[in-house]
Amino acid sequence: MLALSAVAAAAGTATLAGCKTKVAPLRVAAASDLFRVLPVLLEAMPRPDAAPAPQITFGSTGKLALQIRNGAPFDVFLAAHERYLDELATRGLLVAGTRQAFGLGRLSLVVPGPCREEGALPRRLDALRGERFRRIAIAHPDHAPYGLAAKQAMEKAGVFDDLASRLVFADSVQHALSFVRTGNADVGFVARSLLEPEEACAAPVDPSLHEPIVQAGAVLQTARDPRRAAEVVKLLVGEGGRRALARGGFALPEASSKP
Amino acid sequence: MVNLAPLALSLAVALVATSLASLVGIAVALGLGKLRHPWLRELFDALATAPLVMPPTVLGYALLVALGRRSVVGGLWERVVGSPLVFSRSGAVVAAFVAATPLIVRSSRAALDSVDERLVGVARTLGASETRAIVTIVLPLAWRGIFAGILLGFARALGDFGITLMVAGDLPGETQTASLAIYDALMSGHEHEASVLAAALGGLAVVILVLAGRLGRAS
Repeated sequence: MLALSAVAAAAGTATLAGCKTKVAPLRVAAASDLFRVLPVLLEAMPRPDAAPAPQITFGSTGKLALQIRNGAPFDVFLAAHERYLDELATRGLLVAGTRQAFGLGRLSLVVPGPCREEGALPRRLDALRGERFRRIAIAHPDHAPYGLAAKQAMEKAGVFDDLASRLVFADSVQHALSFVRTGNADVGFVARSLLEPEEACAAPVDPSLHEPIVQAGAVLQTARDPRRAAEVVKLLVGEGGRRALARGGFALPEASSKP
Repeated sequence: MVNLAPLALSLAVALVATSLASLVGIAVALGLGKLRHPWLRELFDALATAPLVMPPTVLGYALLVALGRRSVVGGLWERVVGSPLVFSRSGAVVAAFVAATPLIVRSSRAALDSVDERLVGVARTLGASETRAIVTIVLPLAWRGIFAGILLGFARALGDFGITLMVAGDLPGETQTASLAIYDALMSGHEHEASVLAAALGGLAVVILVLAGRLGRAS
């Protein structure tokens, strides 16, 4: 037993020593609506010699915020709604002055394809009252920013009470999209950024119907190298980042705006 | 005030699912015991256990596709029952059933294997039919092990999260079981509500398992 633990200890020291010579990768916690855009963007990010590519953990913003509050070791947090950063800031978990809004989430209605038939794709929210939309997938409004926006939009359009019994709550927008893609929900409210750029069976939801889904990022107190971590947020608000975000289905806030 | 309806739903779903899983699980275990080819028997045994290894959300996604509205089974169900199997209470029962069955099969097989085959042989030479030997000799002797498996299955069904989330969705008042309600409360920052529900679910499980355990030993 003693011998075994001695071997284990030796092995541990060896790995630690091996690590010292290498630069640790950046650990990015990102909202799942960045799933298509972020990996490409970060892959192309200039990094010091021998530094590995950043590691991205995708998840629903609420879940990631909960993990960060309980000590998850991330360097940067990119949230799908700035409200979650407010909460982390009041707990002193953000590095002051690193917080920036970088995009606005766009809400889309999507139906299972093919949707060539007339009326298959609801162009207005009151069309959702139609018989063919028996199951409507949305992310959970209590903890997913796009779910909340979908609820607000339905309320503002005056259809929420009629549709409430048809809603299926998913864990995140990605999950809501899988309900539609498998044909089990007749329509879903999802993030534009998760859809194919030329998605035929999707229609935008009028953004004036819901509060803006402000995407914002900040460096966390747990960052190993806050200066390098801040580069991620700078990249997103920079020219290249804005171009990629716009192409990837986000609307853009005024340049260099701070929430 | 914490809404306890999800707890009642979880209990009902787990009871129905475990009853079905017990019937199927014991039948499968008996069938596996009848397979004479040792490799084939191990293969089917492994297949029956495989759902335990799969991540629940993956399993749930597979079921969503296999039983969904575009599938043969799902389409047939919708035509007969009039509403889809997925995103319904029946869907929640299917999810809990899939979670519970492998545990019941595993335990039942071990229990059935431990029954002395000579006793069955004696019963057969005295003229008992195959079915009668199973009902009067094998099942009573293996009952404790089978019952332990059923309790394990019930506990697993009561707490299922991943499969239910995928197959039954999260419809408040309809398919929102206690596990889903706890998760939603936690994610929304209602930690008090989450802890009350979690404590209630845990407490309920302990009470049921203790009671059932005592009953099982007495019988």
